[in-house]
Amino acid sequence: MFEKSKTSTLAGVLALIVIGLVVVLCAFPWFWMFVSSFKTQQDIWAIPPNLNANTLRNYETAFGWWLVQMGQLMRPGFAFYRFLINSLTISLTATSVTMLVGVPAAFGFSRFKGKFMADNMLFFLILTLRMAPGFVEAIPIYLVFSQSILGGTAIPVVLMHILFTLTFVVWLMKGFFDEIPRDLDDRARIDGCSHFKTFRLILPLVKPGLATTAIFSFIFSWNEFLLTLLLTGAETKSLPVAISGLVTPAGTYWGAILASSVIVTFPVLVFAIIVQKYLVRGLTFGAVK
Amino acid sequence: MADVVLENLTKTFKKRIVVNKLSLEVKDKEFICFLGPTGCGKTTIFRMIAGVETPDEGTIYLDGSAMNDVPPGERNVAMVFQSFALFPNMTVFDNLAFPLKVKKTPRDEIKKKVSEAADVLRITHLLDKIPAHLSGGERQRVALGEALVRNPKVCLLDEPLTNLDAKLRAEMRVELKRLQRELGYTMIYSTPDQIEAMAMADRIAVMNFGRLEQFGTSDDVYSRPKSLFVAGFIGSPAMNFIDCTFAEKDKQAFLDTGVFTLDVTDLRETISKSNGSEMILGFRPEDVIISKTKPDKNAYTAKIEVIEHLKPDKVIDLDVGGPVIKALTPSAFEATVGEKVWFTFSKFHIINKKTKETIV
Amino acid sequence: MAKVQRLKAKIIPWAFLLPCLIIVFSVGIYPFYVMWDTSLRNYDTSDPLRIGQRAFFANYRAMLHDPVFYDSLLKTFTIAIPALLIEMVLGLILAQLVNQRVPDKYRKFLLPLIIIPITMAPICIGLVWRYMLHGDFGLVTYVLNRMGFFLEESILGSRTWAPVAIIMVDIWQWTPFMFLIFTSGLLSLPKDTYEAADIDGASSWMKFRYLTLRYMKPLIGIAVILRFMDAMKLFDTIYILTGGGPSVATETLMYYTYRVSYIWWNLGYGAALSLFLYLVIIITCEIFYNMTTRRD
Repeated sequence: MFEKSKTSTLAGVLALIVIGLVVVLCAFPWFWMFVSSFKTQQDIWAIPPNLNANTLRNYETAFGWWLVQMGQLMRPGFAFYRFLINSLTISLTATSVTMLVGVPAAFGFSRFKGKFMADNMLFFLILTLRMAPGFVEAIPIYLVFSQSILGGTAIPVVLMHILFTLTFVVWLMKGFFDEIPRDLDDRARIDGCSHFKTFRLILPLVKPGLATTAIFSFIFSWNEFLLTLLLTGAETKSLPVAISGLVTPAGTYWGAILASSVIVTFPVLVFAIIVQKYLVRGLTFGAVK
Repeated sequence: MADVVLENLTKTFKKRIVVNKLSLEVKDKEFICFLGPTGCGKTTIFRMIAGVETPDEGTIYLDGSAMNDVPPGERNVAMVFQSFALFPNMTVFDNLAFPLKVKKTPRDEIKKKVSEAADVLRITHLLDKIPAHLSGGERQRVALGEALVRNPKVCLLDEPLTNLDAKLRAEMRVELKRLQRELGYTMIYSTPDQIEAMAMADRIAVMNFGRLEQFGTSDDVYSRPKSLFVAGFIGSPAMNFIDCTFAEKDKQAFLDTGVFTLDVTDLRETISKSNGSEMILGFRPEDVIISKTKPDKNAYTAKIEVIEHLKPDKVIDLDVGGPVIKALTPSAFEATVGEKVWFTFSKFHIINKKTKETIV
Repeated sequence: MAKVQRLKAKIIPWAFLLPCLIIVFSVGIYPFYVMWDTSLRNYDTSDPLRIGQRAFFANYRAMLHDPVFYDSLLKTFTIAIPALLIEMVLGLILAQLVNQRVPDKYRKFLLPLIIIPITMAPICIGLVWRYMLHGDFGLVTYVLNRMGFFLEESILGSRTWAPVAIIMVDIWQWTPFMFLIFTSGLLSLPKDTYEAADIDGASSWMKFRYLTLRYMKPLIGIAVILRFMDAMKLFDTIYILTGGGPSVATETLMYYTYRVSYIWWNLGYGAALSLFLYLVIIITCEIFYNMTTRRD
């Protein structure tokens, strides 16, 4: 519905201005954050706000352990590299397990529809899980694990992440599998393949779907806050939780906050651009193509 | 020996009976065709024969042994799909080699069999391409090739020519028939196109919503249709049907259509044996004889409504005083719209309106 | 042998689904039951002797008598509904504008910028806005001051403006989401009905109202349901921007539940609150679903 003739009118120009404004509005906060992460402490607090981006000190503070300047030990950094590793571990593990478990399940839902008991009900069940406030699942898990030795590890969090991304993976991948015609399955089976071999044959045909789903799962886990807050401790917390800890009653370490936020948000942005094509599909759990 | 016997095959999907107590026998090396409108259950039957669908009731016998519990890979049945079902990420060679690879055939034997099949189907020059780069006809032949490569006992073809254009379809029809004769496979074919069925099959199984209406040669289903459905489905243009009532008076019997009466005294016994008196009179357009002058008895008047020029014939719609019938006449026959003519028919069928079975 | 085959056919689907179902049931369904059980027990720290004991529906009765509960429920809706409506309208307008005025080749450049808000971790979104809305050195505060708007307290410290700020941040974060959904919807509209409307002489507004909106209704429904679900559970931004404050001005039911469960450690009452919130979400989503899928 692109009407080229109207661009020259006043309405057209106004529309373009509005669009431009919106785009700037959307992008600006991140860029502000990015620029400010390179400011010195004084510049961060400066009134009027300025654009003096000239130091890497914030990154050193956030990720380094001890700051050394001119041979002298300065105040300690926050050693966020630990939490970066935590985040990576949690998200990668959760994503891998979810994919391993969810993709076959999605295949099952796609291919065996109507052939086994209560398949619609199960599917709906997975949907209602999505609606649950984090506490409903997190607190019992916390109670169960805090008694056991596994309480200090990241296993409870990973389990929670798996649960929430599973609903997503199953739903999304089912949509992708549904797009592959059943004839191919039948043909493989008539030629002699078992059900599992057929599954392995169909997989390469949904490669873009697999990549998209994995990326979305990772993004969800990476950005997740509440569950991680509830289920991780000082050693196991993820980067987002750690960053929130920089806001203390004693004061807010803006420099470190800005720097670590850049690190947290940047990869996701890159991933989102990679899966652009399926962005809407992923965000709406496959409901919108 | 590769015969197929279907016994009382039934399949229901969510309260809808898709295949209804189907029984028939296919002899070895026979080319039979399942004919019926789309959605009448042909594909389901095929899938049950192949093994990817389990029947709710009934048994399938291949070569005398019951196959119901044998997995599809072990039945030695090949199937060609309407959509061709080629793996889009594999080359033609790999697609053809696929069934052999699954059965773990040694590499050189695979190569040999694939090139043999490719030769027969004239697709050797396409072996390195992927399906996306092939035309419809080429893909069709690759799909056929996959079946050939396996040297199956039975070959199932589910509407394989429906996705091709008319000219290609005609070519492939001949080709398929030739292949079947050369290679001696038992071939079970399905199509909604009755011309295709009549042209290719040794015997035709006419299906209507899961029920087998008639199973016979093309001559059987054309000249001796067993039911209303078969009579109306076979033949182009379709058979004319007029509702009528059977009445007996003294020693004579008549069929009263409301606009004319047909003397059926010599068929009186046969007709009175069947239930009821509501009948349908059926006769083919090609059996209708039109003349401008009144012939001897048993001719009726009609007015010409529409003339369709379909060389080498003409199809004329005749208004008989209510219902309209079609007549097939040679092109040379001169006719004008509105003209009054006499018509009679050389052959007719009487169908019981209630049971839909042909009596005569 | 025959029996085995038939059995195998029945089992195969479950083989694909089993690991998934095991996880869903053990980590998803079972905790739900535990939560229900917890809500029936007493965890009130003011009564240490009775911790963990059965208290039947005491928690639920307490909930119904708790003014803070009702207040938080109100806050939840006063934040979620305006945010949702504005996001929807803005998203639709934006999608329509971009679809009509921006040629395809420029859209590729727009997209990465517009989706920034939805890709950022909510906690980081909260933090950067906290920075920008800071009473002393925040960029937004500075701009507002220069424009002549002064506040004795900071925006986030004001009882009236803090909720507004939360709504604004939510709008900033999720309008692109609506925009994306509506754009994909607009791209798949059937062109012929619009051409017929043009021939009939319909104005832009009429075309929009009667054709576009009607075709987009299912999409709008999905977008609203999804967004509403998450808006009711809004936590990260509230946590970092206002911590529920100033003095519970932005304490939604979700945040209140957090305070009760995680800070006061009254797990029983917290469980009751969570389950109630869950129920509200399920019911309202069901209502929305019926509303948008039943009409014409």
